[in-house]
Amino acid sequence: MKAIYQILKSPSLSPAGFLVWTCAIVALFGVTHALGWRENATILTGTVPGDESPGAASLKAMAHMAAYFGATLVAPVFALASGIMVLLQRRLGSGRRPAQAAAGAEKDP
Amino acid sequence: MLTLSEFTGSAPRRKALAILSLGLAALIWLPLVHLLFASASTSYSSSKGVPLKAREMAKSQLGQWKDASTQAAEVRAMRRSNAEWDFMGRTFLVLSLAEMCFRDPALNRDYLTVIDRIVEETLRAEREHGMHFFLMPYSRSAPFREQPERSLFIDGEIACMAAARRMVEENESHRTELKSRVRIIESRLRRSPFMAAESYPNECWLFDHAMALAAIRLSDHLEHEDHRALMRDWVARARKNLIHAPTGLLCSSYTTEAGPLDGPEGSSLWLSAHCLRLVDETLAREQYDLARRWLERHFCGFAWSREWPVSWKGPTDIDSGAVIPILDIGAGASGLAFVGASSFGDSALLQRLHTTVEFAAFPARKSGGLRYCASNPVGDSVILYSTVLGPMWNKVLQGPP
Repeated sequence: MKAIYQILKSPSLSPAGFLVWTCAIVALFGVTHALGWRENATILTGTVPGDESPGAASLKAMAHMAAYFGATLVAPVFALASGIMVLLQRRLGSGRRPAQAAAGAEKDP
Repeated sequence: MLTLSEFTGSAPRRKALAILSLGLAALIWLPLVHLLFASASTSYSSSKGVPLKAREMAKSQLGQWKDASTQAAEVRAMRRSNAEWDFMGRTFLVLSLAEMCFRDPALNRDYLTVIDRIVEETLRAEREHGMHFFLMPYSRSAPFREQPERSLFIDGEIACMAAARRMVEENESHRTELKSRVRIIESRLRRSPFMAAESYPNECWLFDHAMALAAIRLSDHLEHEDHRALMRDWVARARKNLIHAPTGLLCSSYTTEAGPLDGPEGSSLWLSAHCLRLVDETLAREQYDLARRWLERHFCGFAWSREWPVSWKGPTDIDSGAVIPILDIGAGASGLAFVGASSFGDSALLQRLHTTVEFAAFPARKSGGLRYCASNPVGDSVILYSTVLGPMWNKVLQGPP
């Protein structure tokens, strides 16, 4: 539990932070998909679906499209970046060593 | 073994490394995305037989025509936005089914029944409610210049539907309908000094002229008639009066005196180039190549069409669908680009367009059927048509002139 809490509290620009973003975006997409909001994407052709009002249909379509494109374009970039950053930290020796971390030798800005 | 503190990170250079990592990840991922959505060209294009995507899309659309309540709901949704789409959806579905009959004669019995039902239902609606039933409300905003009022949009597409049906199998009632519409179209074009027939009051559309002329050519093939002089005259006037100078593309709408109302529009040009192949192959090819140059855009394996070239700033109308800013993606124009690319055998563009709809148009596959959530029935029938078009046009082009 403590590890999960620490990951969730990790800075946004860190390997763990990137994974948190990935999960958040994918989860958001899952929610809009489960709610069936993708049907509202027909608004792109100027067609208002079913009995929706144009405003509500546009809002749902925008939310779903943002979540979908986030999940397909942005989330994988965050996931990949997480792995790349870990590799870079190790390669460049810039990762915090456990002893330093325990001692709190470095502080986040 | 990766430690938790390495994973959460707090090194002094962390921010710089994070941004570098994000940049590298984007460079790796973004050019590869299209590979996840690309499909084999045989799934949407083939010289013989019916491709898989066509079968899936036809199943979905035929389902709507077989189920009265579903069809009524779809039609209601489209008519809330644009009554034209209800009509155009019928035209493209009829053209698609006719092409599929050419590709697989075993489909004739089922599909001809549906074609007949669509055409009869369309004629009934026109008879009962008048042509305005399939037009946008502004069709009543002013009197048509040419009286009695008629819309080339309606006459041309009904003629096309009747001709397509007859190309598959002769039918006497469709023959009467086609001959009557062709006579009307011809006389209206001949009466106008600019060979411009109205679709709306004092508003003529390239799309409708191209479709109507294609219908006349199909009719010539069936009736052994010859309207080549009419077509030559129309092409000469179009070249003289309708060319948008900065691009060389034909203007999409104009007055009965051939005064341009709109510049070149993607949602008109791609389909017009396809239809013009039956009228003047040189003009058709020229317009397609110019549309490719001025309207088509592609990036990282995806492609789309602009609604307007950069040199023309026009308002988007209901036909355009949404235009997505920055990338200038025209929904209507991109849909019709499928027809152009398929008609001119442009496999590279076709591949990118199919990849794009698989990625961004939210395909919904259910019970063997396929539709796109970001489209509507008319958009889906246009894409369906692009996957099967070919045999009917080729038959006319290879037949006697």
